[in-house]
Amino acid sequence: MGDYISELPDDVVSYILSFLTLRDAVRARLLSRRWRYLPYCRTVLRFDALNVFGNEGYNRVSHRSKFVRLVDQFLDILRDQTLRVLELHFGLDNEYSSHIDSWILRAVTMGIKELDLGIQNYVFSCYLLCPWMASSLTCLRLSGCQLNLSSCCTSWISHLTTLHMSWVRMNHNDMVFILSSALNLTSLSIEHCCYPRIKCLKVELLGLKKLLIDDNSLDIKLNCPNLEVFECIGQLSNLTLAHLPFLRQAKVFPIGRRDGGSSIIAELIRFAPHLKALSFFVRPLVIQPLPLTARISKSCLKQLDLVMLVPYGFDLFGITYFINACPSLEILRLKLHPLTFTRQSPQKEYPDCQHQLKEVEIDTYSQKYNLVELVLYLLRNAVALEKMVIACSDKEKLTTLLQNVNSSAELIIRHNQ
Amino acid sequence: MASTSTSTLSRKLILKSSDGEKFEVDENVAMQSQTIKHMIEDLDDINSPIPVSIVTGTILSKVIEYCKKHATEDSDSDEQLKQWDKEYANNMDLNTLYYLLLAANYMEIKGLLELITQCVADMIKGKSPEEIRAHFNIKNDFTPQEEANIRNENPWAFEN
Repeated sequence: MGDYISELPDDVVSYILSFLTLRDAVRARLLSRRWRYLPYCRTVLRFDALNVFGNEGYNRVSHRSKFVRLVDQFLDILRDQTLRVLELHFGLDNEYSSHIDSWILRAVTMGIKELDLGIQNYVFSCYLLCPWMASSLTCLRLSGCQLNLSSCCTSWISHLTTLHMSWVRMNHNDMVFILSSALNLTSLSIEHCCYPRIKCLKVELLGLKKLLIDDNSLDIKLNCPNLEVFECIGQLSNLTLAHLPFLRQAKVFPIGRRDGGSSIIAELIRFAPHLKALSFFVRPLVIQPLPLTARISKSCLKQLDLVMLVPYGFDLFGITYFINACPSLEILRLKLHPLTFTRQSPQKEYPDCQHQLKEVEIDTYSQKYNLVELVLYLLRNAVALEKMVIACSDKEKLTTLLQNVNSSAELIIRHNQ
Repeated sequence: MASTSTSTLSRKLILKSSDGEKFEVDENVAMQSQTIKHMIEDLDDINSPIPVSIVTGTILSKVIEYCKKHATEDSDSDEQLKQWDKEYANNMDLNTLYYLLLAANYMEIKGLLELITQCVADMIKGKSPEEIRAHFNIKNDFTPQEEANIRNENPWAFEN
């Protein structure tokens, strides 16, 4: 049998190498002369435990110096090439910060476009990126690092289109500096960065299309006329909006609010007339008030996701207020988390209402609510229903209960641990 | 060229392998190959056989099997399709994989090229250089000194 693989064209073999981990790709240089001098067609470099050490890799202290040597050597191999993406995720100590600095500098000279740093406690100094040649960097992702903005010029920040920061502790001045300099951002994500004392986040970015915020007790002021997706996962204390004509997807979890967030939902509906998908965390309190549902009814909402903290015995039927108030609704997803105290549900009347729901998904961890009742109501009243998926803890029981329901919709019941 | 979508769908093409075997396939099956797509654009007579010069009939039939599966999107879910891909690739011996890789590269069928490349990469993954050489029948043409040099250049990669 001949040597098959070595007769393949260079670009095919290089392509095979790009499917391997860094470690395996370097080991392949030992196969034969042909393999030794093959070009590495890697424009994306990911250095993390799995990629470097294979399956036996751990974030152990003894691996740190090995990891550092490896990155040094690999960047040496690639020194004359262009690099598009550099990702570094490893538990390195601060004693290696000069190495990390030099990797970033090299990557910058290689024309890097995306930088992704996940190194605990590493102080990322912005002078590495400014002022000379960093203008090619458009995407920066930082997690767990610290950001040193002293003597930082704004030019590199203004070139960024994507900025994701997670657990990058920042004070108020740093945050204001970034939000006022990163004028070309289209995607911004701030998770657990507003510590210790940022209370108010004012985001006024004209080009921003996607905004994700995960921090608690924030007063958020938004003026982003091109925003399309807005997610705010942490406890929201206040939300002030300007017109959001392009917003089509929103997620808010206004947990800490006395009114359960209904005024925030009302704000969203009012300022984002074209909102198509809304996901929010509801406390049982909010379900009843009708002024809110009256607001929703003017919207063109097509998808509604409700995450609910529900006490056992709680009357799930209140959800129908929401459904009936959204004339355009096609998809409904419910995620129900049990609360331990109980409450008796009052007697009620079943409203008759036809709606255009096409798809319903219910995810629950318990059957102690009147889930069956709600499901039956939906199956009977949603004339356009095509599909209903229920994940519950007792699949057999629910299947038996629902087997005689006359509905053309596809009904899928899954077991939920 | 103005043609309705139905007539485009039902059009048949004839592919001719390097050893003269002819295959009649639907146009949307053949169009998954970028190379054939470009050839059709330059073709005057759609009924004349399209030569796929470096691919033999045995291999071409396998390529067509893949393209047919991936041309009909309706019935299978992504997971089913992945499972099918996996079984398809697992049923090939090394010889066939090699020629399929060449064919996919020449015919520019992105999905097939990725599938086979991944399959070959999986054979290399985690093996020692000696094991890889044995598997693919690669001749070691290094002197011992050269081999030691390479190991010294990148010691981390050869530590266990």
